[in-house]
Amino acid sequence: MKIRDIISLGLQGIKKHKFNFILNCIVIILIMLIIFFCINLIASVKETAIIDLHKHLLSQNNTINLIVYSQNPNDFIEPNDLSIINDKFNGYGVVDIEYTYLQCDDDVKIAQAMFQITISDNIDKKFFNLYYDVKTLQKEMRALNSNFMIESVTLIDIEKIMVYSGLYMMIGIFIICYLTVLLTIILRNHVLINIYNEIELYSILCCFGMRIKQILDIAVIESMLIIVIGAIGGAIINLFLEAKTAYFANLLTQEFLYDSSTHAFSNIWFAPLIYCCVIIGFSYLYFYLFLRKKLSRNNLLKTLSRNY
Amino acid sequence: MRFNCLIKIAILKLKDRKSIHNIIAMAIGMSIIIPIVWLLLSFNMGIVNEINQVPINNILSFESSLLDAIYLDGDNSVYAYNYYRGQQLSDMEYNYFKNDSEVAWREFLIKKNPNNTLDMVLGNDEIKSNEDLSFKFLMSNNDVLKGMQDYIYSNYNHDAIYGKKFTDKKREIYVSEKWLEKMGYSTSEVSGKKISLSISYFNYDLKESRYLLDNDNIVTNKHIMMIDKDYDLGKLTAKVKIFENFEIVGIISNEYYELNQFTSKEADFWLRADVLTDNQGTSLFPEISMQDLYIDGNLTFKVIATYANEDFLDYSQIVTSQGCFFPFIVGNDYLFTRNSGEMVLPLRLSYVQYNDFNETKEKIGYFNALNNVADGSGYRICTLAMESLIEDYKIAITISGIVGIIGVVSLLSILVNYSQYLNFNVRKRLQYFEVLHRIGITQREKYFIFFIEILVEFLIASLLSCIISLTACLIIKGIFSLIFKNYSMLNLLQMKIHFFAPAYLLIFSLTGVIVMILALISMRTLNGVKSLIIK
Repeated sequence: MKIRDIISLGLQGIKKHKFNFILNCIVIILIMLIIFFCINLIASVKETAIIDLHKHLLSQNNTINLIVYSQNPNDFIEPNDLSIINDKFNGYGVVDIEYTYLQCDDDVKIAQAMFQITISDNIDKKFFNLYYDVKTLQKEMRALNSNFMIESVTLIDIEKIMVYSGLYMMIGIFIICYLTVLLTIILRNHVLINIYNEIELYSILCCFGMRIKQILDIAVIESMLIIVIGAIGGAIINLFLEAKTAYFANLLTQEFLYDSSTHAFSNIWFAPLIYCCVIIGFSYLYFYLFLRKKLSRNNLLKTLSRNY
Repeated sequence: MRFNCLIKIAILKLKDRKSIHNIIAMAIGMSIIIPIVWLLLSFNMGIVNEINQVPINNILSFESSLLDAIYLDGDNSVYAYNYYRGQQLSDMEYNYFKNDSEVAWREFLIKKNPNNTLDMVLGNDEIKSNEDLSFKFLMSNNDVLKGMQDYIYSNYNHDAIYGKKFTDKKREIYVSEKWLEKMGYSTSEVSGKKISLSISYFNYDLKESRYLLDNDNIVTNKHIMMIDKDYDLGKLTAKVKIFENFEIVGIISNEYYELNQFTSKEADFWLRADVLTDNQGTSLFPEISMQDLYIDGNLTFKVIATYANEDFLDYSQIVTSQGCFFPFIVGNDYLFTRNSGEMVLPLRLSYVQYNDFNETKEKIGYFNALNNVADGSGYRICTLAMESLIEDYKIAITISGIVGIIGVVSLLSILVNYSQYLNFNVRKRLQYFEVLHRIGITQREKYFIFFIEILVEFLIASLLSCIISLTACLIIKGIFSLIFKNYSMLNLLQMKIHFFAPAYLLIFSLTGVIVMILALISMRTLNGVKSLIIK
């Protein structure tokens, strides 16, 4: 039988169940849209996070300010404490220390000290070492005096960028896995229902000597068409939304993570394509391996003899 | 046919392999939606609501540098002049804060000094002391303690603040337990008593009063003030009334001051802000100014304290040793920065507490807008905790949104799939229904059998999905807690395990209703095909 005839037979079901077909297409388009969004999210999150880290550091003139103070207004910072901190960060290039004094009667005491540390442009090992050193020092100082605080707004922002990047990535992976499972279940059910609906046709075709593989092709062609329509529809809507309004950038409201001017969203067009090919190949393989039992020659002949 | 026979026929179907497949498929369908609903509830109802109700983080610290006219001249002297407003809230701030829903306070401290004594009258007792004294003003009228009480009662010791709330009588006061202990009183014996407080100065060295600035609320009052470390401002001998005959309505216990961050500056008294306003709402904060005075016929440069709504009196002929001095500015409240001796910038801090997160968020927006209008020279809001909460809030809302969309899409796809399955199920079992028809089962009884079949399948699938989804949710939770164990928002997520039950309830009830509706729709198909069978 010619391929054209197989396709024609496969698409017969669409004419019979137009409404179901359209509903399935809409659902798959929605699922694909979300999956593509998540793929883009995962693929771009690291790149965007690094861009944001650079931008953030640049906005601070590549300087990290560490503010040292006590939560208790009656505690003051002793010069010894400052020298410990200074020694710790000296290797990173402390460029300036700014003090905030507190005047009590005639004494002037240090209420707060701000260390300015200049770092290089690169988000390298040294940068992360500094980050972990600050963390360690915070713990050490708090162990000595629970009111003692070492704060750095820049480091908190940097930490947030990293944590949120990780969070988005994890949620993206979770959603892709989840929707892939859902997609597989939907397609499987769709093919099964299709087979049961058309079993009489298939048994007749089998009786006339058509190969089981060709019958299987007829059975799955509608589902494959739904995936392709869903993928194309999802990709088009994805591109449209992105081009139109920087939609995704607005959706993820963390402006430091997704700056609409720099985000790397639209560059990753091939990932959805790969996903689509993989899911189509996987589904076809699955149908071919597992649904073949349902369409065995014996089964089909039995059906035929039962009905006629 | 008898009712139990119909039930038996319906349950017979469950032994069919296809029915078991259907139950498993339905269970998987529900199981994959439950983690989504759980995440949605945890983020949206759990974390967002949690953030909304955390008053401990709703303390803002407004830090603003003094606006203009401060510059360095030489090594030691600083001049401040023009309309410098001092440390008091401005008109705009005051009008903004005096609404009922907000609580703002300022703290002032009188430092002990050999040349001053504190005179207190409590009931019939008169006490003199030269202890440090601090005040906290609550800038609101009604329910001012609500936010604090919510905070205290929900998190800490129930006895942290006790007594009555402020009423409209104005002359009411909260006294700290610590202060009472210093004065040798127990908390039980002071409640309801009247208290008065004043400070006596005798040859008080005004050197420290270089910090005493013009505090009135009348912009047109120009006060030129010279601040010079070495400049002798003179001596003050005066008795200054702070408050008189105030009723003690509540006690601030020692536990309250143990609360971290919230009470970094301890206050001995809490008063209502409108104690210092008249009926028209005009501020009665006393102002401090320096004028040339004639005392005993000699011209002397002296500090004068007046109330703002009084006209600037001609003091030149009046010898004053009695005034209403109020010490607004104190060492602990007055910070300045110095970088390598080149820059001196006085700063000020105000603390504001709001009842909930949303309100605080609005106010931050307000102050940012104010900041923009003031060309960046006004407020600098440094609220790390609040900013962090806002970001957590945004993230939680974003994730809820994404998860919600996915939940809706999942539900939609599962419904479409299930409705197709049901239609197919009816069509496939036409012979079965025909047999039922032949043995005398009526159309109504057929519906009933079909309905019971679906219902039993649904119930078994629900039980199965409980096991599958609970495992899935625990895995998700485990991954989250493992990776983000030090992160506040996700720590909150870990606590939201109790949202499993609502998630199940929501999904089971929703799916149950939808499945039953779909079953009813499919039964219409069954009705439609009856004629064909009989034919």
